Amino acid sequence: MSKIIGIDLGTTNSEVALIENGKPIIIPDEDGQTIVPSVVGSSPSGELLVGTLAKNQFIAEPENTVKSIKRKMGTEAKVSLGGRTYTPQEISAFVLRKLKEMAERYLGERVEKAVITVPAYFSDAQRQATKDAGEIAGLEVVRIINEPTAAALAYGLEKEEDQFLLVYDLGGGTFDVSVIEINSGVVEVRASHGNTHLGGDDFDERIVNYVIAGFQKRYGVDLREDRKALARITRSAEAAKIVLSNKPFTQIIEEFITALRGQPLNLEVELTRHTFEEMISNLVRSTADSIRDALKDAEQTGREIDKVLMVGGSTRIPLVGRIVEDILGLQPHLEVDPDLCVAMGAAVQAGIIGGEAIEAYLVDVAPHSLGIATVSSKFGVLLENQFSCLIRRNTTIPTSKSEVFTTFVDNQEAVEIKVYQGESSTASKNTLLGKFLLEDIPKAPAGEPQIVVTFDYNVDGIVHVTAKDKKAGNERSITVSASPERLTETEKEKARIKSEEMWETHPQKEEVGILIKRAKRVAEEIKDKRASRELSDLASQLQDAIKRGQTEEMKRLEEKLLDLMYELADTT
Amino acid sequence: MLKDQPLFAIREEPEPLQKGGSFNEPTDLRRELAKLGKVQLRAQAVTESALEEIKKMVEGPRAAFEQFSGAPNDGFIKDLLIVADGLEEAIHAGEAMMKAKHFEELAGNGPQSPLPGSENGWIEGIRIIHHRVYQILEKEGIRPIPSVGEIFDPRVHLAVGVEHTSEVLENTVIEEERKGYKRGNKVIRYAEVAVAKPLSSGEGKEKDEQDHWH
Repeated sequence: MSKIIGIDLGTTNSEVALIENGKPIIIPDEDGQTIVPSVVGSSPSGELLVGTLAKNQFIAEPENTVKSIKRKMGTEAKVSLGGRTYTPQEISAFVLRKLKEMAERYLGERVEKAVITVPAYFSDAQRQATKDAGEIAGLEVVRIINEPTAAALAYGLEKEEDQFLLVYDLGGGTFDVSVIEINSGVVEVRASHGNTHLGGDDFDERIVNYVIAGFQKRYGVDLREDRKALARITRSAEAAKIVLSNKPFTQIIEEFITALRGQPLNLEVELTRHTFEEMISNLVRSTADSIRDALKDAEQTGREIDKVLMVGGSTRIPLVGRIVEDILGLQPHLEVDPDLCVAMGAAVQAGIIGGEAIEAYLVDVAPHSLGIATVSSKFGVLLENQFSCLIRRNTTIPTSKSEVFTTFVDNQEAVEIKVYQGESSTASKNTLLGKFLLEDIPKAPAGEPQIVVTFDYNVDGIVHVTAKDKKAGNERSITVSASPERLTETEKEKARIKSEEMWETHPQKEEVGILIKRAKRVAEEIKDKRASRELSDLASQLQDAIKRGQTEEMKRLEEKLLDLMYELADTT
Repeated sequence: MLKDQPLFAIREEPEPLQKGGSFNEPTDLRRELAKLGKVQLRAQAVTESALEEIKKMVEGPRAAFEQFSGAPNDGFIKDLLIVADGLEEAIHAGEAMMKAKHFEELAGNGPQSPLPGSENGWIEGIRIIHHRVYQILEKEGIRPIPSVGEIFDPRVHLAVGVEHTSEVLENTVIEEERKGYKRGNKVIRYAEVAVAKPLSSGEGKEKDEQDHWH
């Protein structure tokens, strides 16, 4: 039976995945790209373009390029392309066909069946339209599944005990939140709410506005009027947003962005995470209402949700995680790549239908939280020995996180960085992994120096901790090992048995194999035809004996073979 | 593959020579010799096979290493392209500055430079640095994508704007806002360009587009 593929047919981008060796994998195109823009176009020469190439011509050929067709699925709308009109299903079919071809190219065989995801709020008409699109593309759509359901499948939760989940999906341009019930392995959407026009692009725009306003205030030049400058800032803004998910600040630098009275001007802005989060705060907070609405619809209070899954690239923003955690009191899960989670879940569903064995999808995560000991004051009370966490438990590794700390007393010239691992908010109750001193901090009032502490955690569990005085530039670091998750006794027993079995799988048999190979080679080399025949016959007989597992015969023939080889070696 | 085990196993210990002189030369000695000879034969076969395994283990990765070690990855190239962009911007800004200064001086406003053409030399220096970066890229087979004057091609160009004009043919690339590069046929970065559109229908179409898409 041919493979069934899983497709995340998105508003902005689409992906295709399948199960290989029991695990979901995302399929790349011939250029190594896994994300296909959901854009279809007709070039001026009348050629059909799908994906990046169609996106490339959008501004030049808007009347011959179709974007975001997902928003029109299930409606009677028609779009024109290269002088012909198409239904939304037909446009989506072009994207699906491209994804199908990517999978066929990857597998080297035809693909005929697919599982396609749709938003939980899609009506029957929209689902039917999606199914039709698949069929137009030459795919039998074996199942249409909800995107949040796919996310739950990507986490392998259908195999776990009955539970309630909240799936929070904040992508590039759409937001939705769904409450999911898992009951005896059946995944069901109980409620779904959202905003179809909210996402990462809005956050980028806030940064762009901030940068442009700052520049205008300083130089009186409006960069918005300069198309090229605007494009550069937009690109920089998105990059800055991504950096701020892991670092407390970043720079937006664009050299020679414009000129004023013949003098070149450079753009150089430092953006802190704090400022960025303030900028987008009202947008992110607006999602809280959707969470409450979804909970109300599902007749669930926040406390009864067992797990929160994060989907969509924007959920990597720490503020988003904090707001969700504040409402639900649960640390959201981000272990499965939020950009690819839905496609992976579609592949899992495809695998289940295709009867494939699917292993629990495991990613490397930090098994314990990591951080440093700090002093803080709350309501005038001095709190020492506090654990300031930089990398939270279950964060996908490798990862790099940094935070800014400061001095506690005036003219403090050194800070001690004590690296702890554990879950207690009291530092000393956790495991001390190492410590070091950052000295020669220039004298300054308490709270003024900025000490940037960075944790780089690699896949081998090695953590490199650096403390740097931002102003003076001096830094110190230490490398520690985070202790791995301990194996349970049963796991150890299993591993021991496996190891013993492996050990016993005959080194002997392997050695006999080597002997046979050599015998055959000697048989080819020697001139004595009778001896050659005898040798190769004996080798074949021995091979048969091994195959049949005739131990005694094996021993006898091996001895005979050795005798013959020795004899031949002696005479030649 | 090599396993964590002795290279060969001697399954039979050669029997010790018997004490007490019942040693029957030369038959016994010959038999001993044969036995040891066979052990040696087996050991030799195992050793040779192990060597072959090692050779295979080394050769596979070596070929892969030789193939890839020379070529920097696309991520590195993309980072380097940003430096090339910056130098290009510096040259353009410098030229614009020179032009402005030239007009000022012609009008008799600004002070004359103590060393005539000194800024020119400075810009030339930047141009040389830019050329060096360019040479590095060229050595790696990275070539700029032709754009201005070409017909817009979404395979290599990314449209970032349109200009309504009658001076050139429709769909001609009229301006390059960011240079594109490719290695062989593979696009490393699309050239960001403005495309010429005819004058007459321009306004209406843009409005159309808005109604259509939002």
